[in-house]
Amino acid sequence: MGPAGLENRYRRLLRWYPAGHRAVHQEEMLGVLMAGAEPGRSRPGLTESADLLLGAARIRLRPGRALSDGPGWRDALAVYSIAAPLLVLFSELIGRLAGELGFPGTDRYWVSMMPELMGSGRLLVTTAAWVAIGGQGLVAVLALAGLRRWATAAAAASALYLGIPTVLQQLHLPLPAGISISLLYIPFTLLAPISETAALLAAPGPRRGRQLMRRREWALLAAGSALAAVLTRDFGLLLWDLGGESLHRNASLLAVLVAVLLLLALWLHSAPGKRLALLFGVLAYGLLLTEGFIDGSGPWDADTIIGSAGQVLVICVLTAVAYRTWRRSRPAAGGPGESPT
Amino acid sequence: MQEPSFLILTALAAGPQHGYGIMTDVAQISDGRVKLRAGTLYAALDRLSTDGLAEADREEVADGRLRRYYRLTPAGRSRLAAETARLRANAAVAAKRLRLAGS
Repeated sequence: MGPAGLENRYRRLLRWYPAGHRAVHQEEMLGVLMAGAEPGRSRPGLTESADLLLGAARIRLRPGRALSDGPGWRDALAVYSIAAPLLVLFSELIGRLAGELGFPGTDRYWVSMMPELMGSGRLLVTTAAWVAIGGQGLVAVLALAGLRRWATAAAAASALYLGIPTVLQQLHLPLPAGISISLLYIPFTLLAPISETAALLAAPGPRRGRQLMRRREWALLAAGSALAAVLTRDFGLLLWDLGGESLHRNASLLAVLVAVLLLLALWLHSAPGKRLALLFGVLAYGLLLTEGFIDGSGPWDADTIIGSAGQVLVICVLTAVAYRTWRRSRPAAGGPGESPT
Repeated sequence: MQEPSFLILTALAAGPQHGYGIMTDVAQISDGRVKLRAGTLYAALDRLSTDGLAEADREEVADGRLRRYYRLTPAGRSRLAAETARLRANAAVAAKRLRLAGS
């Protein structure tokens, strides 16, 4: 058997490598293996076979590989570990700046409109809120500096600080001092540090994410931050004032907007970009939940049904995207144990 | 840093190289003592890329085969310099103690 037989045997051994690694490196590795093969050899040597299998095991067992098999997911998680805390931080800063300028729908706007409802005229910002914002700032700075372990610790600490009171509240147990109940139903605020912890643990690291972020990614991050700032500043109520008949109807519109943006991002971007859009889609869904734009409670009238339709639409889009990305991330050739192609 | 990684970074310090070039260069650098095989090489390259120390430079097709060239990143260059300084310091201490023991 000649070189073709040897190559086929190498291909069989390379099937032990993760699909993502194979997609990028298989042909290149075959070139190296064939270049290094002694003339007349028809099958890989024992040492060489063991070396390939050990190499595959090392790559498969590397920390972060299990949750992020394939360059698409690994790169998406790396970018997410930087972009998510920055998005939360930027949206908060943009919102607060808009508040200082007295934009409609912001805190200062509502204080001026309804001073009697705001007590002393200042909205209360609890310790939990400041920790949530400061925690995101800290995660963002550490991630940008490439300090993966410290960024992970900061994200995990932030998630625990916000998560423990949330669990206490669900169990009807007394809350720590300085924690406001209204701030505890915070899927977005809580979802952010939890998902960032997972991304920092599973991805190659924020340094890789920073390498991947080019001008377009930074522009999308800025646009996403502005959108998040609008959504978190009661802008839905402003839409209501401007002619919408119900909050639920506006919720439906906003859900459609999120779905359209998600699809646009999917259409525009590469494989990692599509996965990144999915991750941010989940975060955006948490945002809509937090802000009450998606609400299944209340009377089941026409408005509620329209609002719920938006919710269902977002879920359907996210499910379709998840299915599509899963289908595309499947290896083209079979994995170990499958029949040769 | 493990020896294969150190030798791969050393091979790339002179300029971008493809996989087979790295293997032959590592053998030459180590006077034939270290012979990298493809499995070890690509596991090391995967780790070095993940750590941001090496990255793909360019691709070409030679004799119908894909060749991907790798290069050092600035972080990889700094890391190699730091590792070299560490090894040099250790070697100096070892040499000094050997001289003392021999005298």
